[in-house]
Amino acid sequence: MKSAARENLRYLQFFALILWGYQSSLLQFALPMGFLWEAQFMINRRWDVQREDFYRLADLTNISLIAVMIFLFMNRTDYHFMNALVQWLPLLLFPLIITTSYSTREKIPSDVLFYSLRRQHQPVTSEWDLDPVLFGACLLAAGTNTHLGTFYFPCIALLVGLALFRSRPGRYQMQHWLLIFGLVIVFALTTQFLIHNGHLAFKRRTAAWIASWIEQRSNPLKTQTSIGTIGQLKLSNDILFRLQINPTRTVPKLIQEASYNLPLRNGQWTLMDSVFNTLVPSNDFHWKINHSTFESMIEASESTVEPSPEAMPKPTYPMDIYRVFNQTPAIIPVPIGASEIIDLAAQKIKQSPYGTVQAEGLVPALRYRTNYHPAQNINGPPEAADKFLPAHYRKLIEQTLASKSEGPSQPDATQPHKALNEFFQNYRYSLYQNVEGAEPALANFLLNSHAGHCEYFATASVLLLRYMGFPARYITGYSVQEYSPMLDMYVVRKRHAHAWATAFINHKWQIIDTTPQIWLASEAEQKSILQPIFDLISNSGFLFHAWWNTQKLSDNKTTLLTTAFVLSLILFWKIFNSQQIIQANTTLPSKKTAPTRQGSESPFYNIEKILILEGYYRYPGEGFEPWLDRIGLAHLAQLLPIHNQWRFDPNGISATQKQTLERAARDQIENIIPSLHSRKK
Amino acid sequence: MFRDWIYPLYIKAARPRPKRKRQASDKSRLIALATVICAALGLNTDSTLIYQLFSLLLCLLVSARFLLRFNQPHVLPTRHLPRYVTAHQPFQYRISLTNKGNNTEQDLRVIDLPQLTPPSRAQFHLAKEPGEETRNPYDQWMGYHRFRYLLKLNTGITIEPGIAPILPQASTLDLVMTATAMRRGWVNFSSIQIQHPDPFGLNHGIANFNHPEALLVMPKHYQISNTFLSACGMHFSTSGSIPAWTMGESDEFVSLRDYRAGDPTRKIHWPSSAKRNKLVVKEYQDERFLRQALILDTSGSDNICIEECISVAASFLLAMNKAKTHLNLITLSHQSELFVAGNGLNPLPRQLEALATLKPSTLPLTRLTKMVNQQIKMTNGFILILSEWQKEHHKILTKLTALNLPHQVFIIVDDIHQTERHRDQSNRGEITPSHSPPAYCHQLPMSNIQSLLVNQ
Repeated sequence: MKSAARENLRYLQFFALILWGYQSSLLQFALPMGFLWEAQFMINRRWDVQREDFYRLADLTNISLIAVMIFLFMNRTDYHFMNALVQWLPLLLFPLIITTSYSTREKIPSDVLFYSLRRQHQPVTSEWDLDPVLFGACLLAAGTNTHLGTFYFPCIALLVGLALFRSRPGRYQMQHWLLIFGLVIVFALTTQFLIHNGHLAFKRRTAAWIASWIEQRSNPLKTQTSIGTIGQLKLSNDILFRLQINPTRTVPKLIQEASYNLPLRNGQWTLMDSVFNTLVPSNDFHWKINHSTFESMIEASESTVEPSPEAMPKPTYPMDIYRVFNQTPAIIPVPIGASEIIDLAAQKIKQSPYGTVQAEGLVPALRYRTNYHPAQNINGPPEAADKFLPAHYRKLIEQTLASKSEGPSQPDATQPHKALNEFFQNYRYSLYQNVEGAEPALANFLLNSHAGHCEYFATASVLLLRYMGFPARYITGYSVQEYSPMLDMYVVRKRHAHAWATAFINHKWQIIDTTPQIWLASEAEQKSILQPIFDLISNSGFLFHAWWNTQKLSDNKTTLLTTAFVLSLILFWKIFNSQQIIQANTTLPSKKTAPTRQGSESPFYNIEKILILEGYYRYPGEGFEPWLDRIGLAHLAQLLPIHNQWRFDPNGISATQKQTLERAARDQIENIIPSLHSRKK
Repeated sequence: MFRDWIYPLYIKAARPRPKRKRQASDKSRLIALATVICAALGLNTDSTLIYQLFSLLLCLLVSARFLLRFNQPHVLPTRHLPRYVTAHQPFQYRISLTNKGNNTEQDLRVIDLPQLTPPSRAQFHLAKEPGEETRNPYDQWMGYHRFRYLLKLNTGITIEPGIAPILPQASTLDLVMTATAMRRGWVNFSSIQIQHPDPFGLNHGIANFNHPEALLVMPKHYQISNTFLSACGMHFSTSGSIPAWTMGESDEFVSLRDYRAGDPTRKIHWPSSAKRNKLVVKEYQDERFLRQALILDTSGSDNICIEECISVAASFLLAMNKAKTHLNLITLSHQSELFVAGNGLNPLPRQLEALATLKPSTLPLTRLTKMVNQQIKMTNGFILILSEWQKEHHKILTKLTALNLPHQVFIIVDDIHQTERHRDQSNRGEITPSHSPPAYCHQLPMSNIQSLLVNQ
């Protein structure tokens, strides 16, 4: 016995499975699943699956779902690993649903799906029909990629339309229903057009804004500093990434993320006229970073000086950076002297002349390698914007210099390092700011408080260097300082984020980090006493992740196939040798339908049923004759004598009488149905 | 504390919404869930096509809701209730549907709504759902299932939705509804909803018809073994006359009548038969009928026990009525009441109505004793049905025994919580040997009442 809901999905479920299999490249699963589904309508055999068996199956489904989720998360090849999970969803749900189809149950009781209901004493009466869920999962999974393109919508519209058409209420005429559904399709097409184009427009207009909102430091065009923040600056101790380097090599102290050249009033730095150049991978995600030639630097500095030996190309050292990027596009942190990025799986990598490396279409991976040399610098040649000093900042520097009681009133441009040291002589490092609003935060730092964090020092340094006439930029990145013996690696935490200045002095970019060195100790004071435990957890997870990445499925292929084969044999053996197999035979009357009293199989009862279903209710205790008389079908009473004889005569009726009654009843049924309909019309 | 906070929310959720115009089907809920999932997964229209499925499902939902405004039925329902029904037994009643519109109506769903009676705050705090301790800790903490159970119990009836037959234009047809009363007493019906589907079957539009009505639910009853009936009746009679169970068994001659198959030959009146040339038998009548009294004590503290007492009492009334025995009913509610049975009277409906609406008594038991004392001289036997054993009961039994009046005592025992309560009472020193009922009293554990009443 198949339920009407299941009959409605006949053939449609098959095509939905095929659509899913084609779209997800899982046809090898979809085809057998589809045939297995359709076979239930042809096979008359059902299994009396016990509730406990359903429990086990549901548990297996849940465990499989969780295991696949973990597996996909660990081996995710794109950021939307949920899409991958959805792709596998029909396959995961199928065992439970097909078992229900081949069992004597129509639906799955709630306690099968919800573990907590299994313990309670109250009977669980609610049931779930999962057939539509599988149908929906197939349509959803088929949409997780774009193979079908424009054919996807007609396919799903047809399948959904047919499913709804089969179960449509009879009060709506077919042509009206088709017209309404056609209008819905038109609306849906319009809606999807609006959604798609709206998404594109939204992405165009807000990409930069979203990037800055999600993670301020990841925007290569603009950065928001904490200058102006009142109170204690809170810094996180979370480990952001790890560095592995040959112990014999020099560890780069600073890892650069981005550089900016235009200071704005509200504590922001931005980039003027930045054009990103796309890098071409040489082979297998091997990206070579463009370095400005020495000539271009000389030309940019508008002077003629012999190239120094330090500016010439040098041999490079490898450094592995272990970082999982949580979004794409993302800025790739690299050492200042980086020349190559290796094993960074991305669709595109772009580099700006300001040394910022940005990747798009990143495939989640744990590690990438950079080759670097400390003497190199990835910053491009200086430009006019690198010397630009807004008037209000010039005035601020002049005020600061004028306010100094010691030292010269003007800095010595011939000795910029000394000038900077003298300038910041009385300044100290502090993560706390207590001045509000009226005076700009930077002015307060320079003129009053003389205390601030690295962003204050870097900004002031850039402004002072430009005041002295040197091209200078504001750089954001990380300081490398903490070694982890557990990992044999350097770890970089979020609180190690740092800002510094770089200035073009003596025809090369030089790092100018004026932040007092006490900042490392000062920020380390904020760490929790539980930090070692957190680090242990984080590092353990990292080690597991690193180990997992070295595992390959192909190494265990033989074991897995053998196990699957053995388990399949056991499963088939259990199914076909189960004592619970029953043979449903709908042609033979079952015990339940066997007559329980004499004459109960009289065809007159069929007439009664039809009339009651049509709304001609027979009152309790009302005899047949008065009832037929009341509803205006008194002519049917001519069948009653034989019916009553059959019903009450201990000797019953003869075969001829039975045939006569059956024939007469059949004729009457054929006659009364049209007459009832004509009455209604 | 949490229950105090959550209780008003449950009350608000359970409040009837007569202005509600739409009800979503399971299909609609599934599509709505799928739409939300599509919205979450299909944000990026570049990398997936899920947004196309989203747009289709969203348009289906919106248009289905909009289309409910059209093709609304014009059908007038009228409810026809039976006079009485019995608690915990499914019953059927009719709703007549009259098509007042110009079209044939079909696919209409008829929902008959009872008047919802939510539990009071105190009841929500104190009463428990049966088997509540087996629910998971979260459900126990939330108490939602308890609230639903009490709401259902207080409302008193569950009614299955009905599917209307095809209604031709200007016709009136009947729809049979099936319902089950959850408890005895009055249950109230508030309104009838006629629901029509949208073209996709996702929602049902609702037309609400106020139709307040009340139905009296009789207590549930059990089968009673003849052992109990005879023990209460025939051979316990102490009157001087010969007692009789039914008419025609005493020696008081009433009349002659023609012989009917099955009449005993000893009753044939041969002289008359000879005169009339056909068999004539003598008919006798009792000198007087047995009069018995059923004493129902509802003064206990356990409501579940009291309900069972009332059910057992109703069972005895029905069984005795079948046996043509006069059985007076003595109850103690807000006052002590006597419902007399007699010749030419059929007291059963009145007595069952009284049981259906009987409330637990708070009066002292001495009132009951006084009533029993008044009835002792006019009664041949007593049936006592008690929810718990008390000293006053002991006095009544002592008196009945002293007067050699036959009596049967049934004490309903809450065997589910018996052990716990017994331990508490022992700790308080309330249980003493003198408090225990005599050995001939029938103790009926709640979990096993039917089998004990039948298999005795």
